[in-house]
Amino acid sequence: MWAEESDTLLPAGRQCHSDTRKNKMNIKRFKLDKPGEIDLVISFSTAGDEKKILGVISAMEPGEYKVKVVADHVATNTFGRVIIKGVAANGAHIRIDGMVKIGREAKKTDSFLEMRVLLLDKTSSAVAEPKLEIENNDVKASHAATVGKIDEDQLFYLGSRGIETEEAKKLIIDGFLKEVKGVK
Amino acid sequence: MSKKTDQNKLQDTPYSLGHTDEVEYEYQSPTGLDEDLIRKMSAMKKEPEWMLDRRLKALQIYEGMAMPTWGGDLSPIHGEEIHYYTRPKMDQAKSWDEVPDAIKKTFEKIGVPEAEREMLAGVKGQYDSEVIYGSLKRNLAEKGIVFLSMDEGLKQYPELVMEYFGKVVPIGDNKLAALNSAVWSGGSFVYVPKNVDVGLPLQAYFRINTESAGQFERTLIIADEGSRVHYIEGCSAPSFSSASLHSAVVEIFVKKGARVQYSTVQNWFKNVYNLVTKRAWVEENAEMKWVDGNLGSKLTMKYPSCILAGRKAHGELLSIAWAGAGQHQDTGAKMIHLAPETTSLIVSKSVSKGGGRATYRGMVQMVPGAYGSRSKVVCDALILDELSRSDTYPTNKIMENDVILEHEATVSRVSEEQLLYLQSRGINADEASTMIVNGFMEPVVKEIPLEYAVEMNRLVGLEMVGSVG
Repeated sequence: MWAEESDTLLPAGRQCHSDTRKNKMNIKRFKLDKPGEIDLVISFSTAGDEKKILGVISAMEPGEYKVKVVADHVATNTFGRVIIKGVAANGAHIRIDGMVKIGREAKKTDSFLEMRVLLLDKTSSAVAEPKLEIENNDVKASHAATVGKIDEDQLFYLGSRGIETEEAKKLIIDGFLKEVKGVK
Repeated sequence: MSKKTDQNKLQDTPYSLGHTDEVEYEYQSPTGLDEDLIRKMSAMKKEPEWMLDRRLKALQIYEGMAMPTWGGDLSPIHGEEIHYYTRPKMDQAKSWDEVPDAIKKTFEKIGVPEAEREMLAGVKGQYDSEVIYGSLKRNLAEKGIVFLSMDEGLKQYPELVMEYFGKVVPIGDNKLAALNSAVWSGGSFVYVPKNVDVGLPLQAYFRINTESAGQFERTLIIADEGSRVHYIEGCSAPSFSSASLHSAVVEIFVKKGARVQYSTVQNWFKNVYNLVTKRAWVEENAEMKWVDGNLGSKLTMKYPSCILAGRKAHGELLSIAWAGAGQHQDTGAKMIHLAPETTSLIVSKSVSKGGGRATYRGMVQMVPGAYGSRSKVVCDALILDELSRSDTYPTNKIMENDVILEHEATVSRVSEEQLLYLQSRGINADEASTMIVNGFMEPVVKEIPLEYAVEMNRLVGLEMVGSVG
């Protein structure tokens, strides 16, 4: 379920404190493809910590798929990215509970929490709770969440290029998950 | 931020509406709440039997429920120390001349008579628990629009009140709604007939004016099919030494094709607990828009909601929260999508400063069958100094796949680049940060009526003095 790797590439849009960050970015990936629960606390307790969590939820069977993530920023000058993407079908229910916590002493924190869910059929559902608790002002913190179905326009476009609906859906889902799955 | 913030200066900011007037009360209930009080109160108001029954039932529910443990700290509220019912010493005055001088003076300080003279259709000032002054321009009455105090509404339109009262906020909805249902007094009753456009906004001014006076208004607005109305509620309360509780319930029915806007500027003094339940029932093709400014109070817990019950119903909430020293603004919105092709928008902006805490707490729910629905939630928070705090607690429950939900939130401070830019144009640091904060709030401020927008901008200027970043 777990994979760890290092990545010296800087993600886009993080020029702000890059001069002080010489550590390699720590990237962690997880995948949840059976009903169950993943409970994660990512602690940023050393100054300059840089961590990226990429999660895939592939919810294709009936049942509840729960992911709980807390990005806990305690030290100064830390950088966190949590990106979770999920697809649900066949009676699956996805629940993502995310929290970015930035303590009083965690100055110059840069943290982003993202959760995106595609609901592939009528029987699937999702609950997304992206939370923020911020106790100092020298921070950049944001979150984003979307829940929806496959964009009709994208399907239509691919259809007009001669790609069958099922194949088109597969392409769109692959594209959607690519960012968090990584290229293997 | 490089320059130091002068904390003491912020905390001593004078409260411009912090005055208190001597008023005689015809009746003030002893502190505390029991069945006798409710019977007495209902008898004094000459209410029908069914209303008394509801009050007593609500009291029972209230007593059986625990105070909410989430949100802000409610432990300093001591129910037994509150006067649940006070009645100023006169009946509802018919014209301005009949209003006693002491009360007039207060109204003048808040600017009610000017507002009336110039542009407002009906002014209803609420002085403690009873509406003591109400007027309606003749053209409103000619259109068949009803704009009364809730007590008067109950007397004149008992069937309407019986049908709608407690329908969208049931008496046992939450502990504070139960409390309100038991001891409610005052508030407004509005009925807009089919296809009538009220035109000018209806305005009510609420005030708390006696120490420990509980204020439990109850407002009911019914906008019949195809009608339009904009209702404005503004609050200001004078300075008190002990904490005061304000717990209102607002129920709105937006019928097919109707449009209702409800604007609030809440500027209670900083010892008031403001715990409010506001909910709208929105039918087919109808539109409900809440505009909510929370500037004052010690703790506000308020989450205006829209139940989007008919196809293509639309709900909107635009809110601003300002949390200064000692304040906690726990506000948000709920959008419940029950029907297909319903849409909602939540834009929440908060500023926290001087140790204040601003919380967004919201929910978007889409039930199975609400296909083609869309919702967008945007929460932006500014934290102006290192003592302050901002939280965001959104819940998005999506039980239907043919929908689009978008949620985004950012927390930031006044950026150094923006400050530097303005300063390079010769604007001093104080003015520059005021300008940036006003710009941050502008998308919501522009939705509220001009006089409040001016007040809000002035307040930001006042609070921002001596603070950079």
